Amino acid sequence: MRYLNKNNLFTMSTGVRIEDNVVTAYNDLKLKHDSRYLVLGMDDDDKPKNVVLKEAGKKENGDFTYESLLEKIKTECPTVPRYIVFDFAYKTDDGDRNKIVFIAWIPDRAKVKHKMVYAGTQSEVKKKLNGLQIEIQGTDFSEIDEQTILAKCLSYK
Amino acid sequence: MSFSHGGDEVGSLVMDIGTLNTKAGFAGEDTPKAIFPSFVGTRNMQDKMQEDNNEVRYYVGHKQLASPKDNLQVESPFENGVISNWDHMERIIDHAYTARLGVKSCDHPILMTEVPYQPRQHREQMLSLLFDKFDAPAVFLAKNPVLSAFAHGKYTALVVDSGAYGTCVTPVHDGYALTRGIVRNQFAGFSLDTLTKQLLEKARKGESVHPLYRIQKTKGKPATILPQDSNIHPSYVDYSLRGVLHDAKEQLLKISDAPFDEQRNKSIPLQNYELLDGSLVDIGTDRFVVPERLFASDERHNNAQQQQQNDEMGEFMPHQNAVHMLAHESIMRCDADIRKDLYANLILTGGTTMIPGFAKRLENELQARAPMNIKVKPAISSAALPTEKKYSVWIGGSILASLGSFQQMWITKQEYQEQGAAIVHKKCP
Repeated sequence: MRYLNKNNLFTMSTGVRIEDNVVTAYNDLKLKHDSRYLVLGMDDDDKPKNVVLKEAGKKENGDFTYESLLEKIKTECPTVPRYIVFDFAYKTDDGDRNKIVFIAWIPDRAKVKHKMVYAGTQSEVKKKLNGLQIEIQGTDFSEIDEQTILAKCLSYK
Repeated sequence: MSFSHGGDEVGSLVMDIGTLNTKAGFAGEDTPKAIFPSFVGTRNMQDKMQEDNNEVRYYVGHKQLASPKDNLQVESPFENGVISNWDHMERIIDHAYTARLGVKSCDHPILMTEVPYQPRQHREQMLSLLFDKFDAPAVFLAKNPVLSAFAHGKYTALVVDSGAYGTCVTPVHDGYALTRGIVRNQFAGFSLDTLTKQLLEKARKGESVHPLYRIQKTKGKPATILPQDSNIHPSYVDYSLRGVLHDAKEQLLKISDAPFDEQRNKSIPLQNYELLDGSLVDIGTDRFVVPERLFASDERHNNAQQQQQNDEMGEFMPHQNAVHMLAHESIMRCDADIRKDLYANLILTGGTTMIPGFAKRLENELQARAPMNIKVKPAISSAALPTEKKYSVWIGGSILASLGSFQQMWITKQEYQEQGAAIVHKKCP
């Protein structure tokens, strides 16, 4: 069983599996734009077996801004890793655009064990989520601020 | 699939055999239970009376190597940073299992770390050693820089591992060690030992530094120095000297933020240092001059020479270049679109990177060579334990091998017997 990252290069993996409903939720976000963001994480951070959907932010829950998502991360999981997927909308000279962004939020202050688990599982997660356009490895808040995301979107080829 | 013996679930073992120390312990623990020198003492017991007695005795570990013996030579299983003496390797592994961990090798899956430039044949040989000689039930080989990166919470990073033998820089991208980008040199801890020895001898006005075994300490009295014994092999003297030099390195060496100008700093205050033998010395600019060598480029190596050497030996040709030059070269060997991420995720691991000032200097030097809009960022270890930086490789292995989800990843003995050692290339990235 080879764990190939999305470049088809053989990477070391933790063996943690991705639950089917994660992929379903992701496809919903990607295609129907029903959810604006997904928060994914281990079923049990200390004894992980599967990556599960922790939360899906629905459109009807109000106006979604990236700022509010960032606030959410700051309050709910500032020192706990999570994978975040969201639909980032921005304006360019050519009009409104959006990109599907994946953040591996693995904060510097998280426990070593959690860092290892999330870093070692991320390639498997990304492989399952087809069509991710922007990926960010975030270890502190400066790496996941709106400016950084916008810059990546604008330079996306 | 979990491993059990007699109905109980057994733990896995993790071994990280470096050029200076072997770190061994149980998966799931915070630090390795056993840390001992990666050296094997060999002693020809040739009996003078019976000339055909060719018994050779072996000594492994601090205790066995603590006291000198006639004809005792201290040898390393490594040469040029790769395993060359497999018998010695076997002895070290055996010492870890039996003397230090107190376990039977056939009872525990084992995760063995390896250098990222490990030749294919060596990987297969390691597998054979563990399965055939040690009867391991399951084995996994994990690359040092990937373990280190993951332990820092990163899957894309530039891992700078500066240990005893040399510095090895590995770009890790998305969990994959980019072999083309691996660059290393042969100048690190051991080289600093030699320079530190010269530094101390200079400070002692030419008097040589005494190896540990000659220092006899008695309570309330100054240490006495035992006389030199010509029967003690120079390799043992060197081995024993290392303990003294390590203490000096840790207490004295500092790296300046920018290239150290000895002339400009001639008047810095002297530091008084007490050697392990009780003698006192005053050290001045040498504290900076010695480790400055880690960051001094070797001007003799121009590009043409390097290229020729690279062609002859493949991409792993070691050269004497400075740490920041290695790091820069490693980045430049990677695709342009991932370079920014490598600059922004600098990971340091290995004892030599713990010299005060090492991290800042590397950051400054690399930043000076990076394109305008790119920011160099060293990774911060959450360092609840100060040893985390030094042992991030072992710690990463410990966590990985203890995960329930990981248990399906081991190469089992059955798989090895059915498919041969080549299975390592299929199952271990």
